[in-house]
Order: sequence, then structure tokens, then C-alpha cells
Amino acid sequence: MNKQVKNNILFTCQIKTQGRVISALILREIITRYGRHNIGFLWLLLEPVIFTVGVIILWNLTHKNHRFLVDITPFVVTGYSCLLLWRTCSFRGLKAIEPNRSLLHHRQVKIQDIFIARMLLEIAGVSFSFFTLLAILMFAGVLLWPQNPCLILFGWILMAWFSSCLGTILGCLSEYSEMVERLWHPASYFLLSVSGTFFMVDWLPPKMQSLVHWVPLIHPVEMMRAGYWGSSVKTHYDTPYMIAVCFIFTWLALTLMADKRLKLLT
Amino acid sequence: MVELQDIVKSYQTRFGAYTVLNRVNLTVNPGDRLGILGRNGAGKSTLIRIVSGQEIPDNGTVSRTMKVSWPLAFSGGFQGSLTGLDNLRFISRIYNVDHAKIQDYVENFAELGKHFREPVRNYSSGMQARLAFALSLAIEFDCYLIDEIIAVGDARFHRKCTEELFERRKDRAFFIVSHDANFIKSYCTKAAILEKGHLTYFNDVNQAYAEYMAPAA
Repeated sequence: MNKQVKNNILFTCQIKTQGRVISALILREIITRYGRHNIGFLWLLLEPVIFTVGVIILWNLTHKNHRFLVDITPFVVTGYSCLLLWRTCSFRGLKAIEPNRSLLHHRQVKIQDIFIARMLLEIAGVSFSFFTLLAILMFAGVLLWPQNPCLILFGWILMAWFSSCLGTILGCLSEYSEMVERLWHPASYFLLSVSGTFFMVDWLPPKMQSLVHWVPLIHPVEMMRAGYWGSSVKTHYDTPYMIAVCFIFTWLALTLMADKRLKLLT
Repeated sequence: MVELQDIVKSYQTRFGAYTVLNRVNLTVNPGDRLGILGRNGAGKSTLIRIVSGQEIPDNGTVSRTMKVSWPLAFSGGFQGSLTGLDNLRFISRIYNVDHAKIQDYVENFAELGKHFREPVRNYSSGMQARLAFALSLAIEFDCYLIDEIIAVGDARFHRKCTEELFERRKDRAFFIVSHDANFIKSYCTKAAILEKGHLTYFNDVNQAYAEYMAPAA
């Protein structure tokens, strides 16, 4: 057998093993987090739905009397789903290795697999609930059929990509220093206020607009809102910038995960 | 065959880099029973983790052409909040084995009774070791890595393990690290002493035993 063929076989074999490991890790995560009691892992999907629905009701009640600049429900659904995505990914990434450390005894299990499994599970949960909620609200007539569904999907994919890298980076860094976890709590709270969940970029004064432009979290949210309302609402997003940020974050996450000291740090 | 060539491994400490293994070479052929003797902190566990692939050396190459187990030790390899049964399922998925086929064997061998369906973190160290043993016997390996574990469990369980491992699987290879020279002497056919990052080989086990037991000059 020539070397090229042999390497290809080895590669497919490794991919298969990694697939098995990731699915085993996802299953184990579901069992440890949700157990087999009552509705079990359906909580993964229900949690974000309850949260978003609660906020929709609250916002509709509080803004009932004065006219809001846009429809409240689509504004809240897009904003809060994105918020949930990056918040859950980042917080689940923190200290992700610790509870799985004993599983690293098996050579097949790699640091990368732990993060991939965790992030996939979070993204799957929030995504499923987001799209279910969209479907239900559209069916109920609360939301209209979006002007550009592809743009919503594209924004969501970018958000998921960015969030999973963010979670992985924070997770790796949190192994080096306790400070990361402590600082991320206030930092994420601050980011919340500039994440575009509570405003549209167009509402800001021009000077602020150019400042928040640098916050990557803004772009997918604006993109999704553009996808819903189309040209009837003015949105500001920069797709090439967001993709570039995603690539940089991916590179950072991969570099950090490759550090073999991660396996030992406690 | 498992082959380690020129393995160097050091850890960062507050006092700078500490070299645990310094150009270590070793080979485990099919059917070999290689024992490594070493005092506490000599680097035995590091060595076994490198053999298993759990840790990557700073330098040198590791090649594995047989199916090597994870290091059987007092603990490790389990997720504490999962039950014994869920851990079995996890490990079967990783090693690509049908868990339904090995469940009965593990349940009988580990003698955990209803605890098999309890979280592993509630197990005593003896129970954990029994589960570890049962699992690694249920999944067939060509080479078993053992890190001091044999001392765990009562005399009867101890006997059962030795029988299962060293008699029924006498065609397999074993790589054992221990500080207990008597143990290495009774089960190994080759032995070496790990000291100050170096491995010293001996022609036969008795010689290694004598060297290890001799008071430091």
C-alpha cells in the first residue's frame, strides 16, 4: 500500500473515532446535566424558549403605552436568542475541562473533543428553540414571514460560529487563571449593554454607531433584523468584518486548545 | 508492539522546568511482561501516561501497533457524576464496542450489585477499582497498562483479578509500574528501574529486585 493511501485510511479512521468520541461526550453531558427524570434533555430546548417568551411578554407589557420604534416581538426574539447563544456558550465554556478531566485517561478523548461536544450541544439547544419559536410565532400570526430568511439563517450561523469560538477561548484561558472566570461575569454584563439586544444601531448617534461597529456581537443581530424587516428598517452590519473576526477567533481557539499543558492544569 | 524512543518529558514548576523523563527508551513486544520499579515521584505515572497516549512527550516518538488499554489505576477514567452503567456506555462508545454485549460481564465481575446504577463518585476506592478492572477486561486489549492497581480489593477479588489477567490473558502484553518490588517480581518477566529520569534495564527480574531492595549506598 502506498503512503498516500495509507495516510488517507488513517485519516478517515481518526475522523470516525473523533465522531464517536464527540457523540459519546454529548450523550454523557446530556445525562449528567438533565438526567433521565421527567422531560430530561428536552429542558435543553425548553429553557431558552421559556426565557425568550417571558421577555417577549414583559416587553410587550412595559412598552404597551408608548409607541416603540419597531415591532417589539421580532426585535426581542432576534435580540434575546443571540444573547442566549453567546451567553450560554461562553459560560458553558468556562471550566469545561475540569469535569471531563478523568475522561482524558482514554487517549481517544482530546481537549478539542470536549469543547466541540459542549459547544455543539449548546448551539443545538438554542438553535432548535429559536427556530421552533420563530415557527410557532409565525404560525400564530405574531410574526410575519421574514423578508429575507437566508439572511436570518446566515446571521445565526455567524453568531453560533463566533459564540463557540468565544466559549472555547474563555474555557482554555479559565484553566490558566481563576481570574478569567471572575472577570468574565462583569465583562459579559458590560457586553450585554453594547450587544445590540436592547437597541438597533440606527437609533444611536453617529459617533456611538462607529464605536459599536467594533463589537462583533452587533453584526449578526443587525443582520437577522435586516433579514426580518428587509429595507423597511435601517440596519448596519459589516459581513466581511464579522467573518474576519470569526476566523481570528477560530485560530485563537485552535491555538489555545493545542497547548498540551491544558491536560495537566488543575 | 509499543515503542518509545528518546522520550523527554518535563513539567513547569515554580522553580523552573523539572525533567521527569530524560531520553527514555522502551519496547513492549506482544506477550511481554515489563515491570518498571520506582520510588514515589520517580515518574512512573508520567511514563505510563505517555505509553497510553494520554500525555504527549516534549521530545521523542511513541509508536503503538497493538491495542493498548488506558492505565488501570486506583481511580480515573470515570466521570464521577455518571453511574457505573453510564460510564460503561461511555467507554463502550469510545472503544467502539456494543455495550449490551459486555454489560452482564461487567456487572458480574465488578460485584457492585445495585451500586452499578449509582453515581461513581459515591463508590469506595475498592468499588471504583473493581469497575475499572471489569471494564478493561470486558474490552479486549493486546497490552494492559497497570498502575499499582492490584493492591486494591480484598484477597478474594485480588485473586480473581490475577487469574483473569495473568492466567486467562497470558498471551497479552503487560506494562506494569509499581513501587512494590515483590509484585513486579512475581508477575513480570522483564524489569527496569526508573530513577532520576533514566531507565536502567536488568537481565532478569531477580537482579532488578536485588538492586531495588538494596539499601542506597
